[in-house]
Amino acid sequence: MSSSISPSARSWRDIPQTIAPRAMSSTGRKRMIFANTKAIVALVIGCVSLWGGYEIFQTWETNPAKLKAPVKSAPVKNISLRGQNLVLDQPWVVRTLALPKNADLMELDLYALRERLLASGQVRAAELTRKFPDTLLVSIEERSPVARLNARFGEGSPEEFLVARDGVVYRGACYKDDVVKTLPYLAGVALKRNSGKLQPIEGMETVADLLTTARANAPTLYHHWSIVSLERLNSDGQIAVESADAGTVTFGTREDFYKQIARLDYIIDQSKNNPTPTPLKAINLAVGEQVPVSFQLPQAPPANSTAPAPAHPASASTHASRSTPRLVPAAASHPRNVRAAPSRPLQANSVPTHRSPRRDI
Amino acid sequence: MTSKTKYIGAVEIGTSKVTVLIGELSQNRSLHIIGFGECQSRGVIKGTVMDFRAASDATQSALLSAESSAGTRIDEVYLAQTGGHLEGFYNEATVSVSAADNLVSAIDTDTVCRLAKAKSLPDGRMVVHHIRRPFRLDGRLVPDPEHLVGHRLDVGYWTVHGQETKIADNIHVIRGFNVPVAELILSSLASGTMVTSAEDRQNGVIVIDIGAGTTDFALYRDGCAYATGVIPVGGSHLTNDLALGLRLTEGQADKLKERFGRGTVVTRDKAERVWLNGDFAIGDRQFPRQAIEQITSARTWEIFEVVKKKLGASFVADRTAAGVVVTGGTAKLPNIAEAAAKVFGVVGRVGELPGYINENLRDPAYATGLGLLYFGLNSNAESAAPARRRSNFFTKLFASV
Repeated sequence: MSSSISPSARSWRDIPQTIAPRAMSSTGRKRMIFANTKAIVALVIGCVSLWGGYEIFQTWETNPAKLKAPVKSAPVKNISLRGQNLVLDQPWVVRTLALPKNADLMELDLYALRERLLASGQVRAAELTRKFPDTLLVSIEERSPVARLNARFGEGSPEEFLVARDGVVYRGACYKDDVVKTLPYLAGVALKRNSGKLQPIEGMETVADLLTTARANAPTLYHHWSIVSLERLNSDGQIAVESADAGTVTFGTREDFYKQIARLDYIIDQSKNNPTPTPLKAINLAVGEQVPVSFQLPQAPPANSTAPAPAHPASASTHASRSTPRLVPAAASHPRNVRAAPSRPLQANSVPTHRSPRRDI
Repeated sequence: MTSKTKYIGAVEIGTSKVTVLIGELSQNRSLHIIGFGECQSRGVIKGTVMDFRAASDATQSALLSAESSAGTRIDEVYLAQTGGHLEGFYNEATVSVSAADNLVSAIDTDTVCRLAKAKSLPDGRMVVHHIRRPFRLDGRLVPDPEHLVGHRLDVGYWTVHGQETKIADNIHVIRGFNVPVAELILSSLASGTMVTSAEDRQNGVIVIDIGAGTTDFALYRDGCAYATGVIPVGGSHLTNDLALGLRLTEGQADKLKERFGRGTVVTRDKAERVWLNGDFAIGDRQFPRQAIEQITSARTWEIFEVVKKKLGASFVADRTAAGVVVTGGTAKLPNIAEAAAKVFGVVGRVGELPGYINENLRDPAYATGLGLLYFGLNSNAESAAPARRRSNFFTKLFASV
């Protein structure tokens, strides 16, 4: 039946829409050129992509190693160190990074190198950046030590470590001796190791607060502190400090350290102003405003000796407290007493000979 | 912009102006109008390109303006087609259902459709649209006869055809801008889709789009375009009549038409006069208002009479329940809907565009452009492009047997 059906009449779609460029308007020609250019660019990009893909495939087939190291840069010639108030120096960084000779800048594993720096403990944060063509930029941020401690691993000889505010224990590098020697030793600390690394000391923040408050406000007192014991920190909230001029000073963590140091300074001043000064044995600042003070027993005087009459009530009470601690009113709790403390110059020969407690781990 | 986004342009090359709308057709079949351009038309008379260069310049100026406002380039154009050269005829075909069990198959529908469309045209004529009317299976109207049981399958097509050279000129104006023409759509169908609802088209409605140079009309019945036509008379003839009757220049007559023209004579007082400009300057004159109304209403009346005559027997007032809808630039003439209603003897109204259209475009003059975008959105619309069944090898084999 279909063979008898005459074909449909011509439709407008049979009109050819191709048009010669000369018949186009200038805008039409511009559009055509733009469209052609776009098509050519797309074609070229397509061809280049195909060719690139083919080349990569060929290289992968023949020599895959070439693909793994496509970029070759110059070997590292400079290691530049950046950071604020750095103690660590460039040679230390070079030693720690231990880059192989003629190491290629692009082949460096920056994450692994960063881990090496952080492993020292002294480095809090590190960032390594490639600076082409041949420089490795190392930006580091250091920890500041607040105390030190001696520890012995197994049967080895004791080693000295530094402790930062966050409790991280590390071997200090590049510190000057006079800086390290001013730091008090820590005692009563149970060091723990985990996978060969010393764990941070708990409660060190509180101790650091005490030490920095003392160093900032009463440096003379601070320089006489030799040992800081954390033995009763967790159980009783007390920090015991061995001081050359006050014996054992116990600080409480519940009260402001600033006030406690002010009281301590007052008590030491009072004891030194006594016409017959008696060495202090212990001061407990952790019990509140009434401070128990113990004095050392003096050497037994000769039988015929005559003791002078006490000129000051305090000295009288000092003698009276040989067997029982005397309660000193906290008159020095006012900050002005603390401000007066730095006025007392540190004697060159007053630096105590520190006893260094050893921690066996 | 996703790769599935397409920018379509709706272009109407009219006698008085060229209108371009740009729609962003998204992947999810939603359309946003993003650009608009308009330019005074040149080189076009009664919807036909007479001066290619002038028409091309005007159209491309409107296209550039629209592209500039949209900020993008048009991918393809939906072009409105009008002109006095467009004509239409109805052709019907009948086949007997071939299957022994009288079940209508795809082959039957394909055959009857091809038979109905297979009517040769005179030389130099080309088909613009084949608009299919509903199928009839044993006399009953069915939208899709496939898998229904019957003996006789009828279908009719309203074929719109035009002069090849004039259609080609229109297309070449667009191609000169290096943009392909995706679809050629009859102006009356484009505007009719926008100003009538599906219910109107189902109940029967006449859409009359009175432009400047031509009047396009379409009669809808049973949900599809039943008859279409174009008469080469439009709003410019009203202006011309006023210019001749009152001895005015074309510009003066146009102003007078816009200010005092009416579709029917309302003024009863013969002595009532109106000023030409109203500025009392030299040359400002008075004209009887009734005379202006008589001239405009006479021409309007005549246009509707011609449309009614062209529709002939196709128009039955009882089967045109939705009445007559007047649109196009001249639809702004007051009382024009009343004139149409009187001529056709049905209710009349001026076409209103849907509320979702931007207020700036809610003008009867943009109905065609908006309708073109609608066709772009529904490019497989039944009236413009009937769904063609995909015939495979076996279908062709059995058809030939």
